[in-house]
Amino acid sequence: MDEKKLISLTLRIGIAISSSLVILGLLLFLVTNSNYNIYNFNTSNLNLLNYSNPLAIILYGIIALISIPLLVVSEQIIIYLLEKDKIYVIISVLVFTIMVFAILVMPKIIMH
Amino acid sequence: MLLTFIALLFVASIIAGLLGSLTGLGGGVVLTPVLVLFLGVPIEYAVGASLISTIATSASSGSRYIKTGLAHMRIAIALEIATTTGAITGSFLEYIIEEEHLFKLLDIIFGGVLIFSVIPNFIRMKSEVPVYVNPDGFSSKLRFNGSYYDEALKKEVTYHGVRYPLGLLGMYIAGLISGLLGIGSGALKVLAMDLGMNLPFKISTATSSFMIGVTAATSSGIYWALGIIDPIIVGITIPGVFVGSNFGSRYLNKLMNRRLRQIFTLVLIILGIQLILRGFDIFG
Repeated sequence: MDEKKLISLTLRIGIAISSSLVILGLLLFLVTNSNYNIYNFNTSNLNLLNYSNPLAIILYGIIALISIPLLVVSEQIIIYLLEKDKIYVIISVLVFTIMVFAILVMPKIIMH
Repeated sequence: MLLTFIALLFVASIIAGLLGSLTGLGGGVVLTPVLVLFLGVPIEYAVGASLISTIATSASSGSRYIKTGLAHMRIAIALEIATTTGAITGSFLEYIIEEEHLFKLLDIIFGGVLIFSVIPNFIRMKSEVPVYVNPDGFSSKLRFNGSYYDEALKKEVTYHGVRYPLGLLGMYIAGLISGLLGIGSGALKVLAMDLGMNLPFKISTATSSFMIGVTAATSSGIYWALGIIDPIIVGITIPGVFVGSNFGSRYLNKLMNRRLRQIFTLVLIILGIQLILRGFDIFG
């Protein structure tokens, strides 16, 4: 499979998974509890492991969405490794590192 | 009550997606003013929803542009070093605004950026292929070259990006604005590639669409930690923006003439002015 097909397939599958989770969670939310204040929930204090909470399912969809660009960049690393393109392996590893740092590490540093 | 709000939110997102695709600015930059001004969503939540919808629109348009070969993967990743660094800076500034409760400042900056983002829309009215410039040191080493078949001009166009450092600088600023305001800042990215790196308009638009997802994902960590990515608002706006932008790019773009698109662009300027006035407590 060539690189363009791989990345474009990743993007499409990612969108499908993410949007079905988001829509499923939203529908469950509307069926189960429709008299809550919207701004009461937020990502910083919601228990992600509570599977019965429809909002957690929406958040899984959002996590899937955020993972798509990460996945694409890691696929680029592999593609350039196979092409033995040193400069671009370094560049894509650098971008991946910056992203992981910004998404996972930086919030922890700032919030504490 | 909640159902009414959800229905209105959905309609507003469709309109934002429609306007965004008609003006070529994408969903994010239009979504925020529409949510803030018409639905009274607090700007921080509107910005959070906009950031997430940016990733979604980038993934869907990116897959199309990668397949057709218009998005240049090497140019994208080489510039993403700067956009992701900028996004870190921008989302850190957003964190400071959140902590200091400077939401009015956010209104004003957003209004200003909205007005600024329509400028390429006017420049771009005459879409020509740039004059070929011989590659300089960086760009030949990094292989910023390619070619594509231009449907409008009915010929093969060969291009070579130049001035990589200038491109990086533009992308850092674009990333900063993106992280600060939760938008893809595609307009700025296109400017950096069009004017800075001498790339054809179609290549820079497609590459920018592919890149904005990476930039937005980089900012999402801090946004998540700040708690401004509201699951319900995001859950409604993502499908809404999808419906709107798909409809806009598929059908309306063919029906709309240039004049009508200019009117839409003016509507965005008016929204920008309204946001600035709101920031100064003059309106709303």
